[in-house]
Amino acid sequence: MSQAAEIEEAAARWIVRQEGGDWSPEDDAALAAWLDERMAHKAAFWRLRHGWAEADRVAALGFQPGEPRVRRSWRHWARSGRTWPRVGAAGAIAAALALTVGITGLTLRTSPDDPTQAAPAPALVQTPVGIQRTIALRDGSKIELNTATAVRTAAGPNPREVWLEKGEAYFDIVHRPDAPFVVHAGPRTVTVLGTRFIVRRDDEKVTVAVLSGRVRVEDASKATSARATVIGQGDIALAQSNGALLALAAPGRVDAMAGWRDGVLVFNNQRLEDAVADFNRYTKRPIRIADPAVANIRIGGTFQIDNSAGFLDLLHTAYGLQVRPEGDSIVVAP
Amino acid sequence: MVDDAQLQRWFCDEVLPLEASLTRYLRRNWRSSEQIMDIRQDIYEAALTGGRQELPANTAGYVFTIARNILVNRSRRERIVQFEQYADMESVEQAVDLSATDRHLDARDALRRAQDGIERLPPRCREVVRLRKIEGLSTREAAARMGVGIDTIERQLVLGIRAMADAMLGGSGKIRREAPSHRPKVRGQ
Repeated sequence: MSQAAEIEEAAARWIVRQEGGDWSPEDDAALAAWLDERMAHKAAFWRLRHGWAEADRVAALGFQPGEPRVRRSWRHWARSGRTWPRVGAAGAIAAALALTVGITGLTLRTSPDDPTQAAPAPALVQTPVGIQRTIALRDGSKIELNTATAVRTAAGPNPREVWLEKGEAYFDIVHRPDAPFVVHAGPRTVTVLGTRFIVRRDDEKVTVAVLSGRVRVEDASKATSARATVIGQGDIALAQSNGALLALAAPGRVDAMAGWRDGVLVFNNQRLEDAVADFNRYTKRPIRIADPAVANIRIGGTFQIDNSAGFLDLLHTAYGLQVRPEGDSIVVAP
Repeated sequence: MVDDAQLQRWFCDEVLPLEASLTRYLRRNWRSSEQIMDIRQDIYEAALTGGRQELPANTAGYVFTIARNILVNRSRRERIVQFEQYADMESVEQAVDLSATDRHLDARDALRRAQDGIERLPPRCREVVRLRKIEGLSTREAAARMGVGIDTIERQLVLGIRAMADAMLGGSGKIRREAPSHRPKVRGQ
């Protein structure tokens, strides 16, 4: 455990004892002495007590004692669905995919939309290469568009339906038990009640990474959901263009997939070709790899999205590759 | 000299609301995410030590300047070159601008943080937090209700306090829980 974590744990123990009911003047003196030992103790203690007091808001959520039973069944689904190498035979090319989220028994009411306001027209929001943008929906949900992305919203007073025409977006969806939120991504459909997740579309290939909440995945082309599975926080679903679907637990990859929101690309033992393809999504001056042998070099690290120079510098200094400009692109050669 | 009550009020009202954007700033500028918590702790410690002499007029500028200095000093000490540091040390101004949005969390945002935080707790921990925050039970009462020992309740509360405080301040609310005796050897020490 890091030093900060140790101090934080000690601070949390003080709060537990202080709230616990048997707090004596001696305890008070001991706490004061501990706080005076180091400014870091005060920082940790004040921070936890402030944040913990803020957490009183959970009382407003009114969550139900009966909840654990429901959760267990979700978790059971999630477990049983973890390894799911192939769904959909070769014929199921355009198999639609529906994801629905079961977000525990919590209820969170958002203020109802004002019905007197005019219904907004459908809108198309696009980002050019290298630009990110956040759009807010009327229900409080939020969509962050990554580079070269197009999202269309539905018409209507409260559009909980969007089309991801291309690219990648992060969705932070307000929970509405009565109104599912639908994301159409080509032949796939993602339906959620409220959660945070990323959908990336490379033509017919769709990747869904869940940052919080649970997502139910089913083959919507079938009348019954015999092949339903659940992916949850830290899980990724990869839907291939041939209809195959893979669900796996990969918290590290989910975090890496969310890196663009912090302005970084995160690679972990990835092929250079894939890393370069990721960089190229953000620039009009693409990097090209001149030699297939170079394409298979494994590479790791965190890089600023807007600093491909640093990345190329690493290729040159650490891997001894030649990097040279050539027309509108940059060529990497052995 | 600023007294403790003033210092604490300033820390909670002005510094802690910056935590989410400060953490983002650290993630952008520091390669190893395991060290973020330690670095942030150093920043808070330095901010309080300086603030004790005199509270700054511009808290965000003050905190992010400390952050940048600490990152620069750390990267000098690190043997591994941080490739991504070439670019981004200048972005203090930008980070301060970003922070403005975080400071005006409305009640609904706070509620969502509470909901997300609760949702991410392990089931037993969630139940203990629920008994404390919603039913207002003491540690002893919670132990009796759940049929477990007082030390179990206290252990779960320690986790719950850390996770919920982190969630309410805009963090992920995920707490690593390995006991010190089980932790893996730290590399390079």
